[in-house]
Amino acid sequence: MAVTETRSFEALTLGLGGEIFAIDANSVHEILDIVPQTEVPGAPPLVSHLINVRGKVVPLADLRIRFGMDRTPPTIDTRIVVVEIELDEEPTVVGLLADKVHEVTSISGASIEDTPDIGMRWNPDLIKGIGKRGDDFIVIPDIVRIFTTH
Amino acid sequence: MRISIKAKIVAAFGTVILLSAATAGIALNGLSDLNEKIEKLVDVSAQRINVARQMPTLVYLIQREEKNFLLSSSEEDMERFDKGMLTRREELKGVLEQYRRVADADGIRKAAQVEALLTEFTNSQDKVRSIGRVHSNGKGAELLSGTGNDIVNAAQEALRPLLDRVENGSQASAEQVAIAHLVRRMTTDWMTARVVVRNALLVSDDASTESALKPLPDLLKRIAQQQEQIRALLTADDIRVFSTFLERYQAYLRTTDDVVALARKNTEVKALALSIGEVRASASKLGQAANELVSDAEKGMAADKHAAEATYAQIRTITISAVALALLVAIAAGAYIAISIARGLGKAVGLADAVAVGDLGRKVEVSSDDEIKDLVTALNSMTANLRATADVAEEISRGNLTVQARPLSDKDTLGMALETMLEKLRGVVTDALSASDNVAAGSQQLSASSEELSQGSTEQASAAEEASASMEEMAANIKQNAENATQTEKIARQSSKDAQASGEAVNKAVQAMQTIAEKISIVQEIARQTDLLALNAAVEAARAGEHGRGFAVVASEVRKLAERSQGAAAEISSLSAESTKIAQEAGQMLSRLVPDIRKTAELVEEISAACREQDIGAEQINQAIQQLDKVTQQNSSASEQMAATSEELSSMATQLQETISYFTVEEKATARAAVRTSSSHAASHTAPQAAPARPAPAARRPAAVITLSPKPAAKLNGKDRGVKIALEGGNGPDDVDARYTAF
Repeated sequence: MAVTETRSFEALTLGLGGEIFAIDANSVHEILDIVPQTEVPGAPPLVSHLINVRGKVVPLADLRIRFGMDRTPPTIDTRIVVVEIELDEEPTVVGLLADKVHEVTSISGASIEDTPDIGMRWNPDLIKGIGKRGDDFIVIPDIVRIFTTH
Repeated sequence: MRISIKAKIVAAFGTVILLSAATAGIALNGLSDLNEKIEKLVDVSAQRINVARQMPTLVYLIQREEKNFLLSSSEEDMERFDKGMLTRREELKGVLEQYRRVADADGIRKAAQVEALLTEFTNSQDKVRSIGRVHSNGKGAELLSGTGNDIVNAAQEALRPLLDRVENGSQASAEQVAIAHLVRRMTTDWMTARVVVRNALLVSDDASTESALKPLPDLLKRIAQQQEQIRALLTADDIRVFSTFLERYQAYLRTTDDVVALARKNTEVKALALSIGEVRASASKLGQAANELVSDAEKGMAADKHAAEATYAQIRTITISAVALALLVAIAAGAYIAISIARGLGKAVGLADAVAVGDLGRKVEVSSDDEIKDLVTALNSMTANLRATADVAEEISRGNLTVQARPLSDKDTLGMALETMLEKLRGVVTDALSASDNVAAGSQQLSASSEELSQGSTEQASAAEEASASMEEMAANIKQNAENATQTEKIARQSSKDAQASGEAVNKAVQAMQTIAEKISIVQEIARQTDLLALNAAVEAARAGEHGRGFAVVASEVRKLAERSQGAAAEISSLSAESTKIAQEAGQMLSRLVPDIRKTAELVEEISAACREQDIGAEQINQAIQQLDKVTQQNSSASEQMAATSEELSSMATQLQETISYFTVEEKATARAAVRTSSSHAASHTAPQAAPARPAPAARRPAAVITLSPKPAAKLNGKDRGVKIALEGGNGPDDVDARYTAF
């Protein structure tokens, strides 16, 4: 899959399973401390829980399941990042679990490369690209695809 | 001539007994005489009085019988009293006969007189008896009340039909009533006539009888007239009845005549007059004569009594004089015997008293020749023997033990004792002589020994003083130790307390650290929240695009600050955790330290106590040593005193030898005693020469010669204490020195 956009953008970096992921800051509503979660019986493992965000019921997604990572218990740095995404032409608010939220930073388009086909741990369909910041790699996930492909 | 006391006493008592027997004989003779007189008094005189006294009594009894005879109304009584009168007369005659038997001549004469009077009395009384026996009035009354009454009743019974028909029948005729009336009047008059006759019987003198009988003839005449009147009125039947009555009335008239005749006799009064007059006169004469007899008898008895009393007085006088004589003889003999015995015994007692108080030079003589003389002779020989024994004792008292004492017999305890005493005394004196020699030698040895003792005690005293000084120093050190221990103990105690306080402080510090850790976590939380807010702000700034650029920078800065504070807080937290751990360890160590310190304090305390006890012990030891010192000094002075005493003993032994030499045991002993006396004197004055002879203490120490000063007594009395030791040797080198080399 080729990179479709090369322009730079403001991204929120967060740690998940030892990797750093970057999410477009414009789609982020807010960042929350961990809150009480309600398990939904019969729901898919990706969004098995619901949370209450300022009176609205929001599904909580654990991206590690999608990326085949081990599930770890929440730490003091565990956060919930509330984002708004377009699903089926309809803006939907979803909570994402993150091991740690790093910072808001701008990622230049030049530093973004295509996802290599071989040697990747993850399904390349779910990744828009890999950014570089210093010596670290930053994974830019495709949120919509994560929720739409099964 | 020898007359023993026994013979004297027998003679005296024999005389007294004989005199007593004579007295008793006289008294017995008199008593038999007296007895005769009393017998006569009792048998004759008393009986005479007794018989004579019966006579007046009998006269009186006869008179009483006579009176009873006169007063009795029945024939029977009269017979009884009459017989009594005769019996009494016979009794009187019997009594008179009895009296005559016991009476003397005068009495018999008087009895004849009494008999004559009795005859006279009997004659006059017989008259009374004959008159009194008639008893006219009594007989009349008997006739009147007996036969008279029967006749009257029968006559009145005959009249009853005449009266009954008037009183019981209702249809009585006038004639019949008149008859009854007349009959009643007649019976009334009849009754009056009967009363008159009775009255005549009741009076006893002739005049009264006549006056009482005066109305009787008239009454009888009137009754006869009334009978005639009644007869005239009566019918034929009635006349038969009335004639029966008349027959009975005639019988009454006859009886009345008899009664009147009896009433006119009045025999009782006459007999009484005779009794009171003639008979009483003769009776009184008789009684007088009888009483005379009685008084005569009493007079005779009084005379006999006087005679008996005279006899008694005579016997008493004789008896009393005989007894007095016997008493006088007894007293005289007793006094003579008592005085002779007392005099002899008094002399013997005087001699015995003299012997008792030790006077043996007396001798007594008595004039009599009896048991007393035997006693005195025996006493004299006893005194002589005692004197011989006393002579032997006197020889011994002069110191002459060569005399010989011989006991008089095997029972002579005094002699044997004297002999034994002499033997013992010889032995004792010999022994005492040798003993005094020994004492003299021994006392000198004692003197030397006591001097040595004195020196030893002086050395002892100095050693004791040294020990005392050392002990005092030791005591001071111990005291210092005790004080130090006490101070250490105080410090240890304080340390224990401080350690405890430190432990508490550490605990507080630990608590404070924990509080800090809590507070730091708050800071961390705040920092985390701040970080989150800063992130959100950065997100907002990013969404604002170009406009939010500045805000993004601020947010980034805030976020950096928050991260720094978070880091610092984490660091503080870890530091505080570490400090807490260290502090806790320190606390534990301190708490382990506290008991150790406490134990140390206790041990130090024990050390302190031990030091104090040591102090006390040292003090006691010191005191004991001082006491020892004192005792040693006392010993020293005592040994000095002992030396003096032994000197004195030595001189006393000499004196004893001199004293004992007074006794002469045997002829050659005298010479020996003289030698001993001189040698003992020499020994006491020449002590230096005597010293080498005895086993002196100096002999045991060859290196030094100890020389006693010539006069130990003087030395001991002076201020010079202990023994003087001349190490150089006053007499120059001697045999012993030769054995050593001089440098």
